[in-house]
Amino acid sequence: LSNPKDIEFVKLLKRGERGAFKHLVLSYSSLFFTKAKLYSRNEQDAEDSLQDAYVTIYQKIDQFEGEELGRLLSWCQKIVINTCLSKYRKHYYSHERNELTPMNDIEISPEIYGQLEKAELLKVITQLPDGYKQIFSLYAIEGYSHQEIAEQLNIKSNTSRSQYVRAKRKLNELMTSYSQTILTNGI
Amino acid sequence: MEFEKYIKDNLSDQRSEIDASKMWDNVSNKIDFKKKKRKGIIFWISGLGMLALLLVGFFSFPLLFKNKSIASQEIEIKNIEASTLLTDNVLQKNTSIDPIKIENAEKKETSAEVKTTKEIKNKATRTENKLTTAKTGIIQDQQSLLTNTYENNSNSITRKKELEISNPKTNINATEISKLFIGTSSTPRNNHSIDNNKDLSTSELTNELLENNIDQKSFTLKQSGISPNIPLLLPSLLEHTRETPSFSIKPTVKKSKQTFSTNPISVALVSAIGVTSRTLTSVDPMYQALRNSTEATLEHYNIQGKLYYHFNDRWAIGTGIDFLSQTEKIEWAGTYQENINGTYVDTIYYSTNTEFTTSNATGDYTATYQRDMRKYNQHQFINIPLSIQYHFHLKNHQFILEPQLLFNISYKAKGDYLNNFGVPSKLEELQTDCNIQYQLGLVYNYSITQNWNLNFGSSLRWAPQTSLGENAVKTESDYKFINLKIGVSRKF
Repeated sequence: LSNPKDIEFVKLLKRGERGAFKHLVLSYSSLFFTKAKLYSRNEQDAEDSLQDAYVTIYQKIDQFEGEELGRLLSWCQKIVINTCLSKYRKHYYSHERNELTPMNDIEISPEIYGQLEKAELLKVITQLPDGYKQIFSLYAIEGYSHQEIAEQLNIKSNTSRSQYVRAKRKLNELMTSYSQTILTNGI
Repeated sequence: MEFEKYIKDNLSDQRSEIDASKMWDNVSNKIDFKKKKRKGIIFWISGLGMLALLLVGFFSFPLLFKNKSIASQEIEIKNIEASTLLTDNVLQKNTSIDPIKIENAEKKETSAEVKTTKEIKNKATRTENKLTTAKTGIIQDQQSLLTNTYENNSNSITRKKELEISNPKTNINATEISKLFIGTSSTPRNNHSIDNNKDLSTSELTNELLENNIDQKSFTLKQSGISPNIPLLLPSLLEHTRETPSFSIKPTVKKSKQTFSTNPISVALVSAIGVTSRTLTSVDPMYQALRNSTEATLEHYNIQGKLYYHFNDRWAIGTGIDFLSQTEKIEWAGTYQENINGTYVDTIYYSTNTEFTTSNATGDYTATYQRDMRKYNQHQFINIPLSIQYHFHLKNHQFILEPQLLFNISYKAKGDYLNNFGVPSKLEELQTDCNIQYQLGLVYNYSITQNWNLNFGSSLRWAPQTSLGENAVKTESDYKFINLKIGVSRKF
């Protein structure tokens, strides 16, 4: 069951109350910023996109149907992601999403990613090339299918699939490298 | 898949450090929190306007009935007068020239004349009472009515005299006829010579009417005693004298019904069909670059139902409901090239058949887009209009100039558009504001009946519109509607 306070908060937000919106920004910016970083080229772009996303959220809040805070946050995150992708496409459109030769998927060993803290894992992911990072995040973190990603990014689903595999391989390399760096520094 | 599950479980709600206060400062500067409630205010203003108009209409109805009762009172008065004359006619027709009764008639002549005089005087007194009662509200109309009646009577008397004088069958002049018919009556016979220019009060006019009736009655009764060679002249004189006043009633009654104060409320139903043109006044450059579309607005139709309150015969205000549906054709076709400055893949190095590495570069490159799509979109608006009507005449033709403000309360769109990823998206996802529309109409007003009017003309509407698409792509456009319209209106 939803917390009555959360329901009231969502109601106030939908009514366009300034106080409720301030609460949203102060309480959930850190959550949304994580998403923004995954779909932006750098942290500065992520911040700018997040600001734009808040404006969009405010303008569209009356279109949100529901009264649960969880659903609202999920809805907000989608807007954050869309805004970041839009901004990215506007300024850094790349042909690197051209369909490439299909590659076999790989399974990353838990020994590799198990050594990393959440923040470290996130840091490694953000080091992926932008195209890889976006497709990997949309698939692995947000749970979109390759078809949905294809529609969102205006690419073919096979392109999304092959780029995801490549992103995983790259991530495997980066995590291995990162682990070795930590071990080296630790020694 | 364990890796994906691990990632999803651990990173989906991962937080990152950010200065939230600074973020709020930036965001609050970008958002106008008052604007959100503006639409609601407009809605309430239009709602209150409508309510006020309904209240005015509600309180106007008793006045309407009051005016109607005055009008019906006038009709009743005319009916009394008419019945007086009709009774006289019947009396005249039933009076046969029976030789046996001539003698008795002569004997009773004086008493009958007096009796008839009394009856008519009673009727006239009742009529005068009615007139006096009605006079409080409609003195002017009453005077015109009486003047009309008087004039008709006077005219008929004049005509009677002319006939008397010019009739070739007798050499008796008007004075002789007068003497013959007067007999022993004490009633003065010089009442025909009423001066039309004389300024008479209601009471005096009633007396004049009374005198005429007395004269006519005595004329009828007297004919029973005349010599055989003279009556040949008399029926035509009597018939002529009696019938003339009967048509003096209607015009006066009709005039009072047309009095404007009885019709403060009217309703109108108007339908229109026309064409629309759309101009993009401002557009997100990204959207402009990607959409590469041609747009053609097609037909629209419009239906309005409105209630008007008329202040006088020139000015009126109105409100009601307005529905407008517009069809828009959008085509995305052909190839479009765009020069972009950004990051692109410079080289791809395959170390094996499947393994490769890429190196990116930043700079200018060309992107090519291709689209081939045609869509017919529907836009529907429901508005509350507030209008002012100005009625004016040109060469006996009535025209109405009507500026309107239309407050949008509902907007629906069906169809597709290209989002800023260049992907066709649903129009329903657009957040569109078209808060106020402006219209100027000019119609010709043709009266079918006293209460029903036919209107046909043209109107021009301007609708500025702002649309916010997915991912905050913003477009601003102007819709201009021009149409031909036809409608009916009815006054209560």
